[in-house]
Amino acid sequence: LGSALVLVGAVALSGCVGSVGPGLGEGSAGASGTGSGGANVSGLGGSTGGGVATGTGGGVATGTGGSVATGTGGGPVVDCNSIAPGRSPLRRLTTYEYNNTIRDLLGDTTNPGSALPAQVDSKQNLFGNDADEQSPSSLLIEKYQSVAESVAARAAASTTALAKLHTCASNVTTANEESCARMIATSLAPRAYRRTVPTSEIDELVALYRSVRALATTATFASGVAAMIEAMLQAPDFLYRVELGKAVAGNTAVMRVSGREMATRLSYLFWQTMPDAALFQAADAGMLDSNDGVRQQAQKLLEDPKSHPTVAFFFDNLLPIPDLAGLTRDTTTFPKWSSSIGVAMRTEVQRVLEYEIYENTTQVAPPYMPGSWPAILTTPYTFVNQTLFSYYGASTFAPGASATGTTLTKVDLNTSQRLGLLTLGGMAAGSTISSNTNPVLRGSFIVNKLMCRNIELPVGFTPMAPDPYSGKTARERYSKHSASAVCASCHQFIDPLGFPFENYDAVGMYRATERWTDPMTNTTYDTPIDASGSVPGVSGTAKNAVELVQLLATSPEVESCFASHWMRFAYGRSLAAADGCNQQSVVTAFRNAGYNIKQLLLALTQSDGFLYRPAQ
Amino acid sequence: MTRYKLNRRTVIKGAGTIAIALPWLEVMGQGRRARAQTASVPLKRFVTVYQPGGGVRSGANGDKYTPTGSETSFTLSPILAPLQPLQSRIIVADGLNLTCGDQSKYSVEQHQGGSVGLLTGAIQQGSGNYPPAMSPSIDQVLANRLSTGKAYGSLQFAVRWATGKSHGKLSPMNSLFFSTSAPIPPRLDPQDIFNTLFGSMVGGGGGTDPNTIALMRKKSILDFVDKKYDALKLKLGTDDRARLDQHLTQLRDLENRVVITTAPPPTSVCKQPTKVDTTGYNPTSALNSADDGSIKDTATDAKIPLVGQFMMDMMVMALACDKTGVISLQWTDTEAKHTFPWLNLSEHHHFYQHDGGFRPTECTQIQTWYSQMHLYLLQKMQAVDMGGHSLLDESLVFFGSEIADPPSHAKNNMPLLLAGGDGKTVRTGRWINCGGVPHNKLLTSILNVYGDARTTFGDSRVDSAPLKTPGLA
Repeated sequence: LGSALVLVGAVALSGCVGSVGPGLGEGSAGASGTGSGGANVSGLGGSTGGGVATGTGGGVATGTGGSVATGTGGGPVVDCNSIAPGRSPLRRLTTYEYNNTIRDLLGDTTNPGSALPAQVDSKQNLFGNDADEQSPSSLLIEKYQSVAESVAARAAASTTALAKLHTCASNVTTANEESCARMIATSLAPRAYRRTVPTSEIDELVALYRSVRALATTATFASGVAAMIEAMLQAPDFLYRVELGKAVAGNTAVMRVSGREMATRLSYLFWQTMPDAALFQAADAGMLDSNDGVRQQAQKLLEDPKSHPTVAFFFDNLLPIPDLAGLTRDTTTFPKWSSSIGVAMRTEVQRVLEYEIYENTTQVAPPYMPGSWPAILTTPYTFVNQTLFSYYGASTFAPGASATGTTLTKVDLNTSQRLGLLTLGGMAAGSTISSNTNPVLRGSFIVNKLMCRNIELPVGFTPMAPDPYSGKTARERYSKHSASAVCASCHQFIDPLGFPFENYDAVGMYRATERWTDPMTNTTYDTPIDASGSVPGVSGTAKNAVELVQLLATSPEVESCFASHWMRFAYGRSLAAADGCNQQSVVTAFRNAGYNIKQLLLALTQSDGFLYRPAQ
Repeated sequence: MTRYKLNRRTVIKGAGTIAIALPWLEVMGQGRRARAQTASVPLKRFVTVYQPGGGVRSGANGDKYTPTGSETSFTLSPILAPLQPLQSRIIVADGLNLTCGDQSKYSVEQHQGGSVGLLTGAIQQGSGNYPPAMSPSIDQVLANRLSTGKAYGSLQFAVRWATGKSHGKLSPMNSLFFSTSAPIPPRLDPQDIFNTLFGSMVGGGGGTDPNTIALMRKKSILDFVDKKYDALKLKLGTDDRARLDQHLTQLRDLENRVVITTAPPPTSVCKQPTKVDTTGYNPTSALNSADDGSIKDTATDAKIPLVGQFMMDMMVMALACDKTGVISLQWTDTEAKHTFPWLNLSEHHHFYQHDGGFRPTECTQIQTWYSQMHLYLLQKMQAVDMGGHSLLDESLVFFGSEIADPPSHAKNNMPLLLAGGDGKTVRTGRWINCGGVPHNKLLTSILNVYGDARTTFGDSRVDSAPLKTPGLA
């Protein structure tokens, strides 16, 4: 047991003392190439020895790390002068994409994909779209069948419904039934398969129609059409994003993704659904065959309001805000908290993001580009309605600010108390899992999700919240574990990121003091909060969260981490050593654009990983 | 914590000396004793039941789990007491450590390492990860042997699943069953299970029967879809082709199921279970869960006993109807963040385990209730006559949890039970102590009992040689 503990300590130390290369850590070539995670070169400080003994090091390896390895072992040599797309595994629609696609293909807004089995949750990919984690289960295939059956039944439920598939269906006779079925197939299949469909395949669909139509006297035109739809919705061409690519002159290693395949890539990146008619047209007109063309269409999709839910989806999965509606808090301590406040706070965060990314044109001090990630981290405004305004209280806002009615209104913050996304009420409440704040959890969120330093829970311990009576402030209570060298090896990074947010309590309210009652004497203390902290890798210290977020905004690690989340989302896979050039091009473009988020998304479409795929 | 460890060690040390002499599973054809007796009923089914949170062998109230007495003459403790009516049909298997999931030995998360290792014997590759690829769970290994020609290779049911931090998604916090490539998502909706498995049990009506026509229609469509996968495969590279192959394999299973379900009409044994009204139960309630369990769905929670029993009814009938040879039930997950209104417990299980400080009284109450549910399943299985013997006689039921001790999450001396068999193949009615050896040895032994002759199972770092008794060697 003693030796095991020492080993654990060693892992923790080697895991935390190193610094992480900007966004380049994750999944980089497991040198063993076996996927066993045994020799994990990646993660924190590239600690080669860290995990060997116990099986994980930084613990960054996803199950796919090994298969990524090209056998180059000690650090890949990637030549960025030649096209280096990285992997491009076959992607299946996520449940979210499936719902959207059914909606846009057939006008069915019932979110039928909710009947599909639970998606695999992953440590690395926050968006449920990692192709390597989409292994189809028996239950999934069964549900694809039953969901397709019900969707098809709805699509063919009435003459009105059928007429939406093709006008011919509004008036079918025995004589023209089959030709109408053919017209429906001809119109639907290219959209369902997101590619041109040769006559031979239409013939197959019509043959299916014919056989089902002839199955029994009870069979009808509608049941035959439903059969075609049911079949299309289970076909690989619908469920998977099939890409064959086009040969690239003089380069046999890669294929260009163009035409409707590129339209599909763009559409699922920006809209999480199938391309619309205009995008298909652009694809067919060859407008997606050049890098510039891809960029132009990307810009169009991004400017379309249909991109807003995708951006919201991204942040909902990155930030601790989805659960706000359901948080319960001690009603004596926090009588003003309610589920509707939680809902409003989530909307507040979403609206700030939407406004800054899509609408803001005003540069504020410090001079970050409008719509940039550092600008979001330091926005001096928020959006509240009357309820939220009075919940927070006037002192939260700049003098003279007000909000009336139920609509969210832009108001300036009192920047001595709050500045930027991380200081918003929803972030403070959402990163707290009880009525007491936990600076370690808040710090861990920043270190893991915003800086991409993958710090694991310690192994071999049962981490417990400290005794609530062991100190007057959270800092006092939580500082104890830093006394141990092993604990401190990680907490030296986590805690200084968490303590500054102690000015925001478990329901997102600002506080200058922390109230604590001594259980022995029943004396109540209001102790001033020491909210000082710092950002690993950034020099200087912060007196409070307002200063801390300004330090965070200057951290290249924070910027490249943000970019790598988007890359995982866009590529639908984890990043590996072979993505060195992708990361370099995307992060460079991001930086050159002043870390503007829309520019980041456009830059993604210009990366080799998006424009090309490996030849098979 | 320190005090507890000493206690636990004392227990194991004390028990260790007797353990070695105790016989284990006696496999037909290997043991002299078995050969001498009349032919036994071959084991044809494997059932797994999981409940979270371990046993209660320590705490302010003392040991509420461990039986007292001797191997064959023992008194069940309060937690296991509900199983007393079928005491002769169970083995209380003490002295087994979930070594592969032991956070003090390997870099595994303390709950997740337990859940992903319980049936795989594999070591989790760090918190948040699944077991290494090619580490199937024993139920999946057995499915290849027991479910040939059946509609389903295996069926997984779960009640109030993916709570707390898993947010309704499949995660190492709630995954127990693994194919060689991926965790297996369970079926959650009792009504959907009913409709899928028993919804159209009339059949056999001939050419104009609506069900027959519906099945023929389904078959035509699946034939079409099958060809699309076959055609596309040829155009793709090796990796992607493998992905489509996996899909196609499952699709063909589904096609076979369509064919199989057309065949057998209900018999005297295989009947449609009584449909239970589960209104108010939201099978995907966990999609709205909070990390700390603070989002409560007491309406759904109140229905847990009803839904659980309905699911067990369907499990029994799925076996009796020979739809599969391998079936499992998962009571919630390692997070266990739901309330127990029927026990008047308004906090979640994890709260009583340690989030709110260890509460042995409440944990005992919860685990005792699980034993009542286990009894329900076993009695239902015993009541089905499979032709001179019961369904329980031809099945082995494995009951397990992901941890041993709630507050420490320790993995030593796991609360594991086996039930079923006809008493010859597996000698039940015993409380055995294996003396503190890895539970991987049990997994290998279970496979052996079914005729799978392998000598190791799970991670090679863990001793998995079958449990042997001196008489058998």
